[in-house]
Amino acid sequence: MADDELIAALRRDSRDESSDVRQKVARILMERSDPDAIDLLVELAGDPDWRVRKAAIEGLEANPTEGVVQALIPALHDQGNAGMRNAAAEALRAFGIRALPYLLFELGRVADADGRIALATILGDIPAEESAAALVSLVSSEDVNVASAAIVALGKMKRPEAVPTLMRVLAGDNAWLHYHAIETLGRLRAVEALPAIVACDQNPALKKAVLEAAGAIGGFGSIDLLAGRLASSSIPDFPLLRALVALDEAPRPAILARRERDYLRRKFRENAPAGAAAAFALALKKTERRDRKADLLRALGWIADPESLPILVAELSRDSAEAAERALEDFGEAAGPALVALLSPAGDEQKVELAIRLLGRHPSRAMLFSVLAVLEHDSPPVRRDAVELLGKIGDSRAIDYLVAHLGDGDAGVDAAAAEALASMAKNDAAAREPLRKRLVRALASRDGLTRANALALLAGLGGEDFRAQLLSASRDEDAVVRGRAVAIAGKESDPSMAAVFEHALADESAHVRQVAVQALCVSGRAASHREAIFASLDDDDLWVRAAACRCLASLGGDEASRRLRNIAARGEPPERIAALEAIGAIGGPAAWEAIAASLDDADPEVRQAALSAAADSREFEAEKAIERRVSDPDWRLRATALEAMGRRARYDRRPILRRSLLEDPDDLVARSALTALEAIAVESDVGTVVEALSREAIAEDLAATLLRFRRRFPGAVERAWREADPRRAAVLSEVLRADAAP
Amino acid sequence: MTDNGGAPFPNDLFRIFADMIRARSGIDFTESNRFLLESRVRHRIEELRLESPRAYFYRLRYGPGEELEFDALLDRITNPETYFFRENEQLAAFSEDLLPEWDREADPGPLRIWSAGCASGEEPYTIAMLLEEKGFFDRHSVEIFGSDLSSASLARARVAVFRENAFRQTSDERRARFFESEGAGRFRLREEVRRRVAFGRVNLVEASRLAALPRFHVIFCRNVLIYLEDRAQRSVVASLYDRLLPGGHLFLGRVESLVAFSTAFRLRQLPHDLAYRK
Repeated sequence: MADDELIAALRRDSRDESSDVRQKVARILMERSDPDAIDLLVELAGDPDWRVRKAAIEGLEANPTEGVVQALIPALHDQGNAGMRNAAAEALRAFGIRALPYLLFELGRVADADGRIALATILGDIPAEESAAALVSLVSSEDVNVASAAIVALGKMKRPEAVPTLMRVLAGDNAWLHYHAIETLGRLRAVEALPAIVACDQNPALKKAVLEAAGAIGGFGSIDLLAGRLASSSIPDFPLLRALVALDEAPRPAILARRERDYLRRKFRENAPAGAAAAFALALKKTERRDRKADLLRALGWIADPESLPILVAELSRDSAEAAERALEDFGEAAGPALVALLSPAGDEQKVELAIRLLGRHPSRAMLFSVLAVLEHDSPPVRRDAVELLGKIGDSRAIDYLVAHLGDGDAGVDAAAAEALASMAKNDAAAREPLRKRLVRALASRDGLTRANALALLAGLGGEDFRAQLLSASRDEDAVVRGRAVAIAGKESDPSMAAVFEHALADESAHVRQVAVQALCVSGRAASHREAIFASLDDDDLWVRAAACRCLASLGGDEASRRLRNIAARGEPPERIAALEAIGAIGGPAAWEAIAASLDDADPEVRQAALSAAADSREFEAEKAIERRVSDPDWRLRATALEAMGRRARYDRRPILRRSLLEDPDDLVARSALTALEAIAVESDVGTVVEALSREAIAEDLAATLLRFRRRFPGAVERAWREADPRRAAVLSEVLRADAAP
Repeated sequence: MTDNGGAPFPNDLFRIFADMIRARSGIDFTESNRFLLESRVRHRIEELRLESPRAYFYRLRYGPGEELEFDALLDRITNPETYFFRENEQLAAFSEDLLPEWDREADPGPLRIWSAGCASGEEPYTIAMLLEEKGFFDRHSVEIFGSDLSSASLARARVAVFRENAFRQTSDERRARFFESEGAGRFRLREEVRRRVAFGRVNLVEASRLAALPRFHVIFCRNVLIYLEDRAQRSVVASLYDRLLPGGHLFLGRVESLVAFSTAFRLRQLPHDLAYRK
């Protein structure tokens, strides 16, 4: 069928009575990008059936061209078809920054309020400087609906430059706009606006918005304000509680969160009127709403009245268990005895698990026997948590019980038991000898996992018979035990261990052979087993071959380089990745050729490995390749490129790292930029890291970097604190304080 | 002490695992539930005795047996937390409001009910118990289908032995009527109820495979959408709509709503609770 005949047929079918036929037309059109197809898709975007509209929108989204955007913009004003308007808005939103110039042009052209509201709403979903500027100017629109739509859109965008405009709105006299401005300032977490927001509290209609905004803004000022309201408000005042809980749960660096939480607890206890705990408990009994229950539980935790303890404990097995857990955490150590009473081997799994987790905050020897009892619980997560708690308690009377769980059968419990015993051996010198004796007995266990874990623990404790035990374990019938023995042998310097490796490299188990190759590599023995490692490149098992590739890096030399380049070009992806890692470590001009050939490989893991390997190359082309990928569409390559820059330690690349830290749309990429920048930072980079504190998702990493900067650049951090806005100053204040502590 | 004991879980790998799981199951892992994904992946790494999260990712990516291994991971990350007679108002809307309508309409075909995302079976078995209490099985042919993404959960559902925490909303009378104690805090569902429910593995985001299911009169898909990302939620809601018979009802969890996802359903206020109707 000729193309124009096909379009004519599709046009006819697009008006078919059956929505299934119309949906099919949209699906067919999705594959095309010619103007006829776009026109038809736009038409179908206004179909009465939502499935047809959905297919049409997907078709338009698949063609993000100028023509599509221009075709969609008039559809925003289709007064007769709400479905069409919504569909056009959804597609334009999906186009994002590409649609922005057309949307701004349209905004300048359209005079009617509905059209401007629609445009403002879409602009709010396109977080760019230009859209923020357009919305800021719309805030002063004479039409109150347009102005409020612009304010709401600014809130979605979270751009701080909107704050002065919104504060000017609060200084005006339109209560409707006040409401939206307060809400948006809360979303922007504008600390500087808090006094202006509080001033709006005189209007009872704005009370809820004021409380919510204060909760969202957070900080000590908000805590003072909200806790101060407790004395004069009704009990319970649900909007007030909601605001306090929101404040407590807001994301911020742990260093600040700890202090704010302590302050909130103290202020709540100081300000809650007498009888508040009983009133909260009564309200909890009455309400069916889960959100209110959760907030009331948090309030009971803050007050920490002993009378409410049974209520909080009972909630641990109900739908509000998460809130009850947080409340018991706030309640503090005094909740201990009630929680210990829950530790029964037949107890409710969720309740026992939460109790153990809470007890872990304040471990004590007094709870030992109750914790030992739950080691018999049916649930592996409960047993694992109990084992971890025993590790924290660190009482040597638990040794026998923990050794018994080295072969629990659940991998998480085994590993936790091994960790707990290792920590006990490290922290309690007196426990070491009894533990060693018990572990030697465990080597004769019928359970392979127990033997493997016992051996690993004995490696840390030593003893005159240990080498003999290790040699014996390397010939154990169980491959897990043999593998563990070989891994430990890699850390032993005794020449007798050579026999262990020879045996292991020919083991029937691929796991043991892989561990042997890795152990040789880590222990620096690769040169003395050169032939065996080369032979492992032809092993039947892919993962043994990959381990051998990595090991060749420590051998180096022409033969190793040649084999690695061959594998990098022709192997299976895991081998190629390992080969590229090794080639990068060996270096040289030939290495760069192999790396460059894989930089645009079809497999993303191979591309990433090649880019990471390029970090070690001194070739000029490597520098260019890394720099080019800082703006790659794939976030993983951008992150790897930035990390590579950090490893190359080129100080002149710091502006690139700073820009990515502040502007990259992906938080993980920004985190990579931070790591790289910290490695080569100079004093003037402190300001960039402080500025980046607006990136909530990486605030914890930024705070950790600032803590380290405090030692490297104390003057710059203190200066930054003096000059920072209130939110950043609060974090910097904790950074300076933490550093001053002993 | 184990090979991977203290190894940090790299941020990029968390994102890669989350993206992989989202693409294949719709389950959404973000920073807020990152701990859950990391702990389950770590557990799997310990089971397989691998040296690091990256080594595990390569196994998932390149195999051998990568499809089976991905299913094994899904089994570990799906949340089996549920209990009998959960969200009683909705169950009352089903048994007190909808079942009498069905009695009156007296359709000769079987009443088909689907519990989508049934974990270890508590929901479809609750439905079977309610129908048994109403004597519905004596009057009508009924097909109850429970599905989940996790094969391990379905295996538990088929065995139908439950622990104490599954009974937090179950009266003593019901427990005595429908279960027998096996000791050590375990209770076995009686065979006459157990055999009423058929189970199958269904990935709700695989729309094309869902089309192979029959159409149902009632679908329970409660507390499932909350674990899915937006696009997967839309896809699942569209599939549920397709799998409902005209006039059929959909029950979502109390905290879930279709407001943002579909205008195709009509919200119906039943005497005991709300339901979505096709």
